[in-house]
Amino acid sequence: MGQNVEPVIEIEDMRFCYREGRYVLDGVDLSVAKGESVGIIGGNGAGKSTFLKILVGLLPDYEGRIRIEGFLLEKKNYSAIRRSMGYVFQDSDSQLFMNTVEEDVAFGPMNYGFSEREAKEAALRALKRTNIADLADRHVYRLSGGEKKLAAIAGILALQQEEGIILMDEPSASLDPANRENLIRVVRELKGTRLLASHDLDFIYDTCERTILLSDRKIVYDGDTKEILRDREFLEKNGLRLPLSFRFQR
Amino acid sequence: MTGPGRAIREIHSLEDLAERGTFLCRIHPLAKVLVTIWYLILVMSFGKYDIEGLWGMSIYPVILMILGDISAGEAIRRMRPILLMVCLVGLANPLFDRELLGTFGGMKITSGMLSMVTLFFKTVFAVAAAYILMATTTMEQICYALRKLHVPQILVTVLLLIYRYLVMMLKEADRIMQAYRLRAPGERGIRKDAWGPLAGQMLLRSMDRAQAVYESMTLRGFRGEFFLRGRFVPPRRSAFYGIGWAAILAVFRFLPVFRIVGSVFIS
Ligand SMILES: Nc1ncnc2c1ncn2[C@@H]1O[C@H](COP(=O)(O)OP(=O)(O)OP(=O)(O)O)[C@@H](O)[C@H]1O
Ligand SMILES: [Mg+2]
Repeated sequence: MGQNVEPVIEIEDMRFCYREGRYVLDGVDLSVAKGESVGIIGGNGAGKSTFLKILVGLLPDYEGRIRIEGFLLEKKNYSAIRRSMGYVFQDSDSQLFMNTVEEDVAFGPMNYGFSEREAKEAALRALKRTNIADLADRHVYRLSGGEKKLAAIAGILALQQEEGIILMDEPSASLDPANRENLIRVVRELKGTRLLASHDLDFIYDTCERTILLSDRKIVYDGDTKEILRDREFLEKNGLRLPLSFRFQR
Repeated sequence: MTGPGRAIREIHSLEDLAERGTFLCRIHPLAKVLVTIWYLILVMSFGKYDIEGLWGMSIYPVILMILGDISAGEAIRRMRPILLMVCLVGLANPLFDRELLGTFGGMKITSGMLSMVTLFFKTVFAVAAAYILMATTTMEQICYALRKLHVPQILVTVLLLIYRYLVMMLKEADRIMQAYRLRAPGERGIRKDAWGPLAGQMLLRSMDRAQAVYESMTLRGFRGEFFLRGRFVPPRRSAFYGIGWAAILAVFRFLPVFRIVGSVFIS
């Protein structure tokens, strides 16, 4: 897939453990091309969140080699790497910390030297994209779970560069069907490289052509999304269930 | 509602106050922070027994609470724990310092009693000034002002994180206590043998969360700089506010204004 395009993310024999000797990921190789949209699936505790956190540099003690846009993933390159990378936390409470939604969404742009007006515009644009423009002045701590998720996503979209990398951990969790559909549209419209971790296989089906399956510390499948979502036995062996839309097909 | 739940609500309502957009909220934070620091220095500079002079300093909280539409009753209710603590600490004074100063309505007044009262009011004024600052200025604005005053980046960031950490810890405590209550119905308070694990849980969880928040800030480009957002009154007015208060407070510090005014009326 995309072999002739230069890879944006290159991972070679990556291993990681939280506690000495107990590897959560062990021997991961992956290469993602520019503009690709990759789904990361796997059961609870398979290491999806860990994987994404390693890529944004939140877990610096990994072994192996990771290059992002040519930069080796290490402390001195963090700021360069993070400028072009957005990360949506699994737990949106951790991500939102300003008082109002608009302030929180504008936080990133302000840090990157946008003027107050530009930051506000970027924030409002992002809020429109996630369908929550009407929440702009609301207090973050008074939002519902799904609204928080959308605000967190808007906070990342506000900063997103056209060709940047975006990592989302369970983006569709706690969204209602309408917002979920809207998010699918937003993700599809993004031109940058996308890595989406999710249990929501329907969501992955709608947003990613390529999927990797994490299980037992390794990537056990890397390939076409449609193909793996047809393989009921393989999915079930790895702690996942066939999405509804697939059960009724054929 | 659990104790921590109430505390979170208090913090949030303080934040709400700071965003009401009243005149005081729209004064440049730098002016407000400087005036507050100046006020604290002046209040602390009074001698142990100088209760009369100290009284003059009441002008600042009184006027600002009126101007800023900040309820004094609310403020006192919120400051209660701190005041109670100071009272307890201050109680030692009359015990150790028993020099007789005179009698008042048949009651013996000792210098220890006087210094206790002075200490009490110093605390009330200091806490009131801090409260007024918090009720008119958001934490980000205060941090911004501190940076403008060249307070080292690391200190300001730590201040902000402590504040956020406090909120996180209260939220965690609230969550844990709710979860506990739901599974231990009919119990009043928390069983003693559950205190240890609950407290440990709370610390660990809130540390994790504070860490996550800090990560979320750095991932979105935070490098210790703060930015001022929102509309403020013209700079000249803010400067006038600052200089005005600095002068008025200095006058009240060094002249016994109340006594002068009083003697004018009496004569
Ligand atoms: N901070 C941590 N310290 C120690 N172990 C951890 C920590 N965070 C996660 N783990 C462990 O690492 C493994 C992978 O966790 P991770 O959060 O990456 O899974 P996940 O695939 O995102 O799961 P989920 O679908 O439930 O979100 C789990 O076994 C988990 O218990
Ligand atoms: Mg996860």
